[in-house]
Amino acid sequence: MVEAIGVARAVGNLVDLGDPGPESGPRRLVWILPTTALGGSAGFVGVSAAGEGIRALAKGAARQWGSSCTTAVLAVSPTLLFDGSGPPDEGSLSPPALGGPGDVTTDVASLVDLLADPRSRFATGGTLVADGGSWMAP
Amino acid sequence: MNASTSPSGAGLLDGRVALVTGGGAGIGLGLATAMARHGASVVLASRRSEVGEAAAVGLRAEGLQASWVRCDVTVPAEIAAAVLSTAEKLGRLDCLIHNALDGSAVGPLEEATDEGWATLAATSVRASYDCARIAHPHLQATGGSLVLLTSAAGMEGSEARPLYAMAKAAQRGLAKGLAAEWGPDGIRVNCIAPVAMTPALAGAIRHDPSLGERLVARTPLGRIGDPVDDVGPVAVFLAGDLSRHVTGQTVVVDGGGFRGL
Repeated sequence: MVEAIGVARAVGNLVDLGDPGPESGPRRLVWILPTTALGGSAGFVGVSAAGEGIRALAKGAARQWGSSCTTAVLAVSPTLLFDGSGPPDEGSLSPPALGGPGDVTTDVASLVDLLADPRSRFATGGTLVADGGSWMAP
Repeated sequence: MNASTSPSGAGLLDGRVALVTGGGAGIGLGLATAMARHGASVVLASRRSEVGEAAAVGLRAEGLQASWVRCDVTVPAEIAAAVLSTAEKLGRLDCLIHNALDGSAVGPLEEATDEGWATLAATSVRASYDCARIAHPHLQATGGSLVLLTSAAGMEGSEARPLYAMAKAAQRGLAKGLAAEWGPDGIRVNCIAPVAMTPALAGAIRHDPSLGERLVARTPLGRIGDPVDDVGPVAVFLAGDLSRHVTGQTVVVDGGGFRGL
């Protein structure tokens, strides 16, 4: 969480420059977290604690920065972020609706593109779950 | 009759022992009072004797079972001593509520100091972790309950206090992880997110009268809650058998102001 605060402070220096305007597109700070942050997982309490903390930081920064810089959290399957020793994907009793956790390059990166696109500028502070349809709450 | 007491007169927590950090005043004292009125023997953990001891004396004057133990939650050895003395003197520990917090030094992101964050994190997230790991064997022995105090700010974010919201959210994340981890041990872990008229909130409202108006305006039930009679019953519920199949949850007790879950 300390690193997340450091990142937010660094981005905050850019926010001081003001609203970049529609032609430049919005500034956007995106955190990528495992969905473990949403539900917790046995053996990985630190992941959920830090994850929920960072999600709240993203919301607070969004409220503070307004249109000067929007924020978002992209919550992905933990299997994409850990090397097999991390928390399991346990969002639902059902398998992921889209069949699996997805691919970083083709599935996750494209959502980062979406969040960086000016057309998504009216969404801030929220969490976009991109785990193939395992987590669907709330 | 107060809402924090049982209509039947029977105590929902008869024979139970609860330790409450930050139990000498405010929300912590409210939760402890409600639990004691339901038969629990409560131990108020507080840094300052003039607060904790005085509060325990006040509860005993009401005929309740209450004692005080010194505890600075930033010092794991003091948490361990508080937990151990509670278990030894009263024979068991059924519920630990971590309520203590020092977040007064933290404001907006650009104004927050490293020292302020360190204090906030030490009293919230780190102390939650220490309380949990130290109390674990005692709670396992009784099939007990760990309760962490969080805030709606941790769920909706805060413009004025982003790091406070971050710390409160982290406690919620910790609770969810511990709930998953400790379920097989028979320990339940939940959070309470209250808004209640504590001395701290009353002071903030005196400083900014519009704060009270804004709080009431966003509250469907039309008033700021009472620590004993409005928030306390939720602690009674989470500490007792009525919630025996509830874990990993956050109960928002704010008159309906936050409805985002």
